[in-house]
Amino acid sequence: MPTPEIAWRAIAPELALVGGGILTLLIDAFRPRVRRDVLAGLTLASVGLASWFTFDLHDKREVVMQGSLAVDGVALFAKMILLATCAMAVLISYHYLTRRRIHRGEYYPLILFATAGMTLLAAANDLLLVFLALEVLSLPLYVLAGFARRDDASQESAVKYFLLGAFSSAFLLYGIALMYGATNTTSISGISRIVGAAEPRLVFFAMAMLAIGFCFKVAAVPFHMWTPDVYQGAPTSVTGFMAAGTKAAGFAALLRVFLVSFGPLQWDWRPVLWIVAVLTMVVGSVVAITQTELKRLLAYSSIAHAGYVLVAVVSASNDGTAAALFYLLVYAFMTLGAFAMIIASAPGGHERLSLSDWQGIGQRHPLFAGVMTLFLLSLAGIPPTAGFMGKFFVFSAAVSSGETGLVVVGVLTSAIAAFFYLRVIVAMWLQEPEPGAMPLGPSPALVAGLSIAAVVTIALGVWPQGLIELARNAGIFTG
Amino acid sequence: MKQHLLSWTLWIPLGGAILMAFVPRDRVGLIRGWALLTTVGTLGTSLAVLAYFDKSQAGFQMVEHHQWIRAIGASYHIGVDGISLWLVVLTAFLWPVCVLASWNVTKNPKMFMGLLLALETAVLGVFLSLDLLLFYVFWEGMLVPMYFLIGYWGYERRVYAAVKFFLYTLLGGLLMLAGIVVLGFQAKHALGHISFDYKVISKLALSHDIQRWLFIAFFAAFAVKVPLFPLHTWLPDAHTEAPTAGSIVLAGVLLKLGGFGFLRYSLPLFPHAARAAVPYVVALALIGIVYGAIVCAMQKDLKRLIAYSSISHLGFVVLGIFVFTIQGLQGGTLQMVSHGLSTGALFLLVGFLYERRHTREIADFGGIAAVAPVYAGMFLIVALSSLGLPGLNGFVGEFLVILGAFVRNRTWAVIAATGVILAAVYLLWAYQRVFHGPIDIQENRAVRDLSFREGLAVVPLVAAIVLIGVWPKPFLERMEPSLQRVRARVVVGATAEPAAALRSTKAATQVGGR
Amino acid sequence: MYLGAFDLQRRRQLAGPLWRAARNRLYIDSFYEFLFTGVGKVVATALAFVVDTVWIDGIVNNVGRLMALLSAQVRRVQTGYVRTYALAVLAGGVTLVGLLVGRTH
Repeated sequence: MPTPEIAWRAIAPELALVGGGILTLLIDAFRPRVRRDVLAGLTLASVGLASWFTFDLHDKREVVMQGSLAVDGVALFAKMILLATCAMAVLISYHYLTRRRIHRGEYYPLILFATAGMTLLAAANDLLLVFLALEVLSLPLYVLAGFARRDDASQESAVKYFLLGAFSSAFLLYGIALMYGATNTTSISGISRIVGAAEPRLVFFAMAMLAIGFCFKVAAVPFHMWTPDVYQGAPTSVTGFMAAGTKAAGFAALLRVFLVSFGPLQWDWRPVLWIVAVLTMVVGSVVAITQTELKRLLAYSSIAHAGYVLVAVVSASNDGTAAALFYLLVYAFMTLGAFAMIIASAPGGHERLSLSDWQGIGQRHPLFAGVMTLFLLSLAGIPPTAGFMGKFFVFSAAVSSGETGLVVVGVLTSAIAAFFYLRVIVAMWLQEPEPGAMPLGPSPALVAGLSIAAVVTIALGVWPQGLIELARNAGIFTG
Repeated sequence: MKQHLLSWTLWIPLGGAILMAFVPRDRVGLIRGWALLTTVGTLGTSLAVLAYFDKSQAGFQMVEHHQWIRAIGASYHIGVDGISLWLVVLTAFLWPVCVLASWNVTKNPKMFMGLLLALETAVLGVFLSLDLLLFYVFWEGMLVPMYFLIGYWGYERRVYAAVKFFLYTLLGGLLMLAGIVVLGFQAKHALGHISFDYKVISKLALSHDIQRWLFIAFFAAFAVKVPLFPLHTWLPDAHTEAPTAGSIVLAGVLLKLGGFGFLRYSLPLFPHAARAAVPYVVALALIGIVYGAIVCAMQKDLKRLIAYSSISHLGFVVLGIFVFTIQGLQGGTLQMVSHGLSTGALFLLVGFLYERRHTREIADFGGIAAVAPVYAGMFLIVALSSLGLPGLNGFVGEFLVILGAFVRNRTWAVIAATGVILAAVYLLWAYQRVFHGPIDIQENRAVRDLSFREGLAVVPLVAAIVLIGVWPKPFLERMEPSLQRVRARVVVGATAEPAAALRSTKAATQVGGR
Repeated sequence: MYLGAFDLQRRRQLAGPLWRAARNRLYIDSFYEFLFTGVGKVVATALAFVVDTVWIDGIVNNVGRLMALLSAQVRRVQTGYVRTYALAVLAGGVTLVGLLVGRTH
């Protein structure tokens, strides 16, 4: 067997991230008392380096490492989202971790490794690499979910995530094995060439297994049940990172597998995913109505948003992929923004978690409430925010592919969802504050992160042209 | 300058709001003054638009067209025609009045004025947009400032009213969004590239099936806004609980968006469906006219009474539009302007009364005319205009609508006319209970007459009311060419189904692949 | 007042039905008052406070309440137990298999 060619340039981003992870891990191991901002700085530097390498690849369209890694528009765009998510996560977690007394050094390598897994997942062109990347990204996340060692909720969320994650990974692996049995290859592009001729029952069984794995990761119904508990229990900065990052990476892989490998079979899987999309949008929107805990509410909101991205997936077109990418980017910023606001809402290790804690904030802290309102309106999809543009592009792609029914469901669930976003806005502005309410707890890094998120949310709402054009050009799979 | 006049008109209010963010919160005088200056400035540019408007042209004038989202075929495309001209002027005219009416707002006046100004841009945007996505962004963009204006500065049941307003309008708007997206893709199928441009879409020949669904989708949004029975229940609550400026804005301008939507979108773009919908829509309009008036009579809260009167008056607008005669169309359009002035003035005047007595219950008043004769006189003129007394603005609109309806179907006209009679019932009865009779309640003796500032707000409205009533010609003649064009599209529209090649979405997708 | 044969006062006291009717304006006014003010008020009150407030608004408000109820019910599926969640994954998986493999026949 010939020595495989290592495409250094193509994997440079991952190398930067992993390198940074190893470096921070070693530093933390040998110098446990090192200042946290050194570690944080190194992390951001790794992300910066990885971004540079990613940008360096922007004009490349190829498949490397014996066809297992794709360097194409989708992978690069997704990496962009993931790197931004990582940076934002570091910014918002810095003071938060200190306040909660869980600012251990290993946070940084864990985040970096998870991000590396995510970027690999977005670029994986081979099912085995998909599985590997999925595990690389999941394991640090399981640990991160339980990072607040003395907090029962955090431990519980970690165990739940781990158990259910392992369970669904098993399905995924089984599906990969069956796929190999049916097509004699694990290469995503390879499969697409053979899948039409392979034994259909085997192929579809494998497809279902693969779908289970992906749907679990992106929190589609009925594989979503871990999401509320895990999002609620994990430390808020981790939740934000998880919510934004795993969805972006998971959907990039899902798009690649279903649109490339199963592309020829799209008239078979589209109706099935149609059902999943509808269920996801509906359940996410309806159940959120009775939530009073903010992190849980945002968890269900995440589920609903996953439903909208699924609409773009079902559209199975270039427009659909572009819309999904755009949506995932916008979603990352607004969700991270919302979770960051929760972090900023109180000093010390506490946060304002219950809806009643948010009553009347608008009267005392109008700017704070205003920024939260911006994120909530964007999540609800009200113009002129980025969230609206995201939904618009998704709906456009759906209509273009003839999926008008999904658009009607999407529009109706948006109306339902508006109700619970409105409830938070009402609580903030139109209700009287409780006496003796906590002051706010913003910190410089947090404010920096929030500003970026807020600016992106408005800017893309008013001027999405540049980004959607980029997504359109990127939304093509190579290989 | 003339080229960009519309953009100036559109963005000055928002610009003013953004600049106002830099004014310290406690400089209330500066805030008010700045808001007034901004709104008067917008009024100035809108009058310039009026001056430059060519009354012989039916198409769009002072058009501006720039790139916005090329990827999706949406552009910054604005223009004004006979239909939107007076609505734009009405908006620009009412806003300084609102600022004057809100002079005494104590709770966070900076935010209040800021939201009010932002709302003006959103509303003007709806009237001026010639791109469907741009239109939608402004349409939904209106919701947030209005919601806060009602919910934060309103009266006792303000939260309920604000949420109800928001969700009702949002649902209608979202259904319209689905319609807009489909429309954009109809353009793609017909012309090869997706576009949300109004001019492009108005040239499409849509199949009857698609027209029907799109009409319903757009109807959802417009019917809620009019409001058309039975989707009207958000209005009494919203109007009653909103602060005075909020009520003026709601009644004066926001309610016109429904009628405007029908004229600009439903009729020209979906003519076949519009024709088919006439019996149903007219029925709802007539029910609205009569029902609104009857329910109005029994209201005990003065603001709620005026709110229900709006339902009745706007029934006339919808009736006028859907009879498809030129008198009906002109009457309906003029009635939109008239109603804005009359009802806006009514809410303004009631607001003054509330500021003095802190109650809106009719039973709490009586004999006000004796202590505040100027106020009572103004109120009388406005009330008479609202019920359609010849010589004042309401008569022209209502008469034209009834005439237009009569040409089409006599029964409709008769029913509509009873609305006028009922209007007299509720308005005069309310006027009598509030202003005439002995002063039974002591507090009423202390009611002051109009102050200079209040007079400054009311007099222009009353002047306009009289002007339109006595000399409607300049108003009507500028509307006519554009309305004739709308009429031509919906009455002499193609009755045969367009060629199969331009037809359904499904066929094209399945043949063309992904 | 005595105007000869035409004694008004005596006339007034000996009023006949026709006179009474004329005096009451042929009861037209009373009839109108009954119909429009009396019946009209009842109808108007009914419309205002039953049809509009209770029925139409009732529908609007109940849609909201229905959503909340639905939400509360579906929410109970989240039991908090991992075993339930795993079962949901399994059930979902089986359904997907059924739907997808079913398409091959």
